[in-house]
Amino acid sequence: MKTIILSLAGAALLPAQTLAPAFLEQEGRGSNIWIEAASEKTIRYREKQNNLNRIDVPLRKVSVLFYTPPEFSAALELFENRNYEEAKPAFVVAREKYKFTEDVPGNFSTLAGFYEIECARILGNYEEIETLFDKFKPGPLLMETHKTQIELYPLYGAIRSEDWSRLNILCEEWGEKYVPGGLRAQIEYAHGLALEGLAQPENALIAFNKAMVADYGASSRLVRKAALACFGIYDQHPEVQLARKLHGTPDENPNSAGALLLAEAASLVEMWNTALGRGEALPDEYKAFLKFRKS
Amino acid sequence: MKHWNSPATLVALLILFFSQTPLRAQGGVEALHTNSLTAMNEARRLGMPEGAAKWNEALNLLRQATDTFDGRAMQLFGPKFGWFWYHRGFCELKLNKFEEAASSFKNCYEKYPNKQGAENVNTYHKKALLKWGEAAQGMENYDEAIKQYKKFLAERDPERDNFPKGAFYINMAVCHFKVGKLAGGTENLQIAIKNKATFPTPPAGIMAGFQAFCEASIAKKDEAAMLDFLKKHRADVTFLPWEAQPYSPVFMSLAATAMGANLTQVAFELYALVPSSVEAEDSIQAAMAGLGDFPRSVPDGATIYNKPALEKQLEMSRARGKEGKLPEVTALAATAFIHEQNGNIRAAYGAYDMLERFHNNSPRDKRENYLYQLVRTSSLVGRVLQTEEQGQKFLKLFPGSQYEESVRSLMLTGLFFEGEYDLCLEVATVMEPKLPAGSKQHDICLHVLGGSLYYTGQFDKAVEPLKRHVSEYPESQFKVAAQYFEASNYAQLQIWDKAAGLLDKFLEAYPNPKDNAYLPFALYDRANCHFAEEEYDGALEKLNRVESEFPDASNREMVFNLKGNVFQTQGSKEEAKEYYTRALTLAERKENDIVASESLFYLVGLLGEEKSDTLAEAVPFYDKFWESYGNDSPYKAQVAVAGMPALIAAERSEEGLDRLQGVIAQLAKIPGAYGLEEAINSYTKFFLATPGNTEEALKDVYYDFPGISSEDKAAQALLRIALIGVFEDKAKTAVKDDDDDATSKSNAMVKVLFNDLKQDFDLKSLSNFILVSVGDYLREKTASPKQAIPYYEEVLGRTDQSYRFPARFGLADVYGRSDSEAENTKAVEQLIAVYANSTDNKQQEQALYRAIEVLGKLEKWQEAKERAKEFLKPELNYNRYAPFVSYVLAQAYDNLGETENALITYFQVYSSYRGLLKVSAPSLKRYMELLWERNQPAGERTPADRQFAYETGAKFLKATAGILSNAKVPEDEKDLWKDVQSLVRVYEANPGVEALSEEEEN
Repeated sequence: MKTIILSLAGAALLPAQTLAPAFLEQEGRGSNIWIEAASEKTIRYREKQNNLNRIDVPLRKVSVLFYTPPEFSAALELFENRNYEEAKPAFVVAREKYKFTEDVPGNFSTLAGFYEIECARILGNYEEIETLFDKFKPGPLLMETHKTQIELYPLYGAIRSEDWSRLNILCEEWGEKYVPGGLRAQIEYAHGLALEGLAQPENALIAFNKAMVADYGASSRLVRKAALACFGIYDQHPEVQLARKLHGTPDENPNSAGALLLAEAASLVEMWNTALGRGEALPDEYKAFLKFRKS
Repeated sequence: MKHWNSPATLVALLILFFSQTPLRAQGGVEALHTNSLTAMNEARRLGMPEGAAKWNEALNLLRQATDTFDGRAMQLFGPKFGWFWYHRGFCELKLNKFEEAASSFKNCYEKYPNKQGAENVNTYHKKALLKWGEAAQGMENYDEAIKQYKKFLAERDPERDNFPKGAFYINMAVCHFKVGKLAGGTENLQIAIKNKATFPTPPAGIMAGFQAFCEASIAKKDEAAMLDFLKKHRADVTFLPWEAQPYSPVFMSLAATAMGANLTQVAFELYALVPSSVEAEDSIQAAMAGLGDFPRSVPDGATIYNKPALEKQLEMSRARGKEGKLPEVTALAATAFIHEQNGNIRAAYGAYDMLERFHNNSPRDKRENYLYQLVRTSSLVGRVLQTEEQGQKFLKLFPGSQYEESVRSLMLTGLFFEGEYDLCLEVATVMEPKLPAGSKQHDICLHVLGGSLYYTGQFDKAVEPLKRHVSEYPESQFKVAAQYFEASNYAQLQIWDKAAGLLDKFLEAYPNPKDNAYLPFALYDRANCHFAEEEYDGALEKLNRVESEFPDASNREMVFNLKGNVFQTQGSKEEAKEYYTRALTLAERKENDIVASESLFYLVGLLGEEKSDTLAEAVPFYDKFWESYGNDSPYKAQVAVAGMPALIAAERSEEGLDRLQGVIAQLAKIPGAYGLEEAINSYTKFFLATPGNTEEALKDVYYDFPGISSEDKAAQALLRIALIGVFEDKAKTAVKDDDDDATSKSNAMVKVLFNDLKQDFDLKSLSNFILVSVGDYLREKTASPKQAIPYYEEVLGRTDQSYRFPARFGLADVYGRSDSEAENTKAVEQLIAVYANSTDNKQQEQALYRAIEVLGKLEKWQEAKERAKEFLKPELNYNRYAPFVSYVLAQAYDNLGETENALITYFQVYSSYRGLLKVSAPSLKRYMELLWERNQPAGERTPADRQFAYETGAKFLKATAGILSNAKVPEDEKDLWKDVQSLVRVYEANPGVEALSEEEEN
């Protein structure tokens, strides 16, 4: 447990010290405060930003609502605008700046740390998830959804190590659990990878498609990755390859399993172009599917 | 259309007036001023709608003031009187009386302007422009609103005329969007958003502007504008989950509109803004944890935390969740719709699966729809097990639903069209008897039942349901398929005449390929019937039709193979080769391995025929077969056998024998494998044909056959039996050659081999299957059928009931072949017992047939007649042995003195089975004799018996003249034909008979 130690030298530097503005509730009364230091049990705050008087209060006696610091707002804006590359270092700034509050529930340092890992996840840096998560203390997170998200990180470890059997088992454990759409999309995407790795291409297609719809396409990067995974499966499917070969020849069987999958691939290309790709160009090798679109 | 306003505005304005008004000193006006101000303050405190009465009260007071004093107010009070008009307009605005409000603000602005140098007198002069704009916006007169807003911006005093900037720019944006000015609207919305922290512009304002923006860009189908805006401002319209939750209906509605406008990506982007209810509730709880028991609002930037409001929102959200009315459910269903509309059914299926899995507490009508969609889409993507499972659930949960019939159909038809015939059988077998006859569902079920039996090769069992479906549902949606299956099923059973009749009927009824997807298959089946009946021209005619009229038919490679068979049978080797090669090429292109390997088998057989001059040509096909298909092809035994002459010619006989040996070893591991006997016989033949090999050497090989372990008893026994056959043949040859020594040695060896067989294969240690296999082999393939008796008796003596009927049948057959009357009688008893008790329809048919045959042999004609009539009952559908049984029946009538019946029956046998000389020739002969004996003279419409007897025989001889030169027709059958020929000659020589001319014979 961390303790609050303020030296005289530290006190002398107080005006330049980073403070965390917050709302403090105690016995039904509220006040705006400036938190200067905190442990799991106590917070030390000032009533005015420039006030030298500090008050220590046990956390169990109060409720604290941190005001959103501008560093976090800026990082979150980048994140919401899907600019994860720039959002990640911005969250690092917020995490570090308010690190002194990291033991208090609802603090923005922990939340920034969480979003930092999320950026790594969305960017596909699965190894980094593990590195960051090792140092991460999720206890002060207030939202259950964030805690559930953390429980999904082992899926990414299995993806990284391409341990498809384990990944399949992990995903199946989540199969019947109700989670928000964004988390469901991740589970289904991971399951798709596992099933593909286990040579179950048609089951994998189902899982990838579920990833595309689970949060109605909000996880745009994941949707693109799932669609690309589907194209990869269609491309390699022996029956699709045969149907492509026979397309337009007298031997074509429009009702064969391969022909149906081929038409499905063509529809997906069209959906990529109109919506799923979000303006991103489809790799050339998959564009060719479009010519098999059924009218 | 309401303008968007900040609640803080009025407070600021009232305070401003209260502190400055000089009108208090104006007597009645003062009271009106004070009282109206009090009413407005109270109204503000109460909020709407509770405050409406106070706003009305204030409005009445202000109307009184303006109505009473306006005419001379400028003289009496100067520009200050503008206060009354301004606040009158304010009250009217509050009460949505926009037109009156606009007029009041106009009066304030136009009638009470400040004098130059005294701009502070009517402090509401310029602000009246702002409110005039809001009133115009309320009237939905957006151009007027924009005009007044702009005028306000241009004329206002930057120091004095403060205004809520967030609300102002949002209103400007909304008005622009409403008149379709996207650029102007976006510019103002972006100002409001960019300065949201300083203006401030709270989430509600941003949402109002965003909604108007979306509506305008969707109406203009300007997807690019929408996407560009979202790219830049997604974060500005993405709030904390609990903040976004109240706007879910707005996002949903906008997304639905975008969907309707075919702006798919926009629709997805808008649905993406709908927060998960779980996350929203989580974020409410997180916020409440920070507020503790604090009951009032806590602002954090533009976000306002208020515990009672959060509690209320949480309660409402949870209630919606309990009722299954979550917005994400609708969003997920809409996503399914978008994907399916775009052809991606798999994604739609995924969404419906999640709806049922996680949101099955949706309102009943919604769940009924979603579950139905799940059944439907799962069927479309081939998740047949789920179709079945969810279909069952649907039927249980929603009896009487409008989708009930459809679900039932999807469950079975989904399974059926996916080729899950075993599952179809499981379901349909149980369902069929329970469904009401005549219902659509029964129609489907019966069709699927018959079709599944057909597709799983259970042709015997398929006969009844297929026949029933055709007769009970002549107008079924599946009638074309049903009629085809019924006809084709008989072809599979090799009941050629029945199949031919039904196929002809089918081809005549549905000649148009547009209505009949089975046409090329029916033509192929009909060609097969023709081929089996040796009607080669008919076969070629049908095959040519498929070839020329159905270039896309999926059975073309099979058609080519059959055409090759026809040509080969007709001796047209080159044509046969051409068609087998075409079949091979096509099958390889389509990766149809079975047909490709079949073509190779035919090519090897055709070109590799013993002593042919094309043996060398067969070798590459033989090699290709083993290289590409050997391991998995069902033709491997046949190819190994057929390729032997070619390999011997290519001096690769050892390799050929090794291959045969390998095939024998492989097949030996499969109980009852097709082709094992043929392979062993072939190996035997070619082993002995190889120079230097002897029967004794073969014995050594067969006693220790490579690849067949001592555990493979059935194969071991078959090898021993083959060996017995070799020495039996050797003995026969020796007898012919009068070589007593060789005869004696061979017979001795046969005896030794039988003893070994009995000794090495202790009957007690053999399974029933092996016992029956050995018994059958001995009975059917050797000259010592009685050797089979102990094998059958061993089976019949056991408590294990397996193979009991085949054993009993085998035993009876052996007794039936005997010359002993007692044993024949015993055979009939056994065979009738099998017929009466077996559950295998095929076995029953065979047993009854053999019993009738033996009864004929015993000349027990009365019993033979009764049993034969029983056999031929149409409901039993026994067709396989019908020609032979009919012949026995005719003989029975004949011997029992029922001449007329005999005549009819002999003629039927002759005319129905003309190609089957074994029965047609003797039937015809006896028919002619009976007619000759009856000797009725010619009637008006009937010829004289004797003349007709002669003519019938003569025409038969003419039609079948090629038989004598056909090497494939056995000699004993040719003798039967010759018997007819002799009789015809005798009758022709009779002076009472007029010989037919050559033309008449045709």
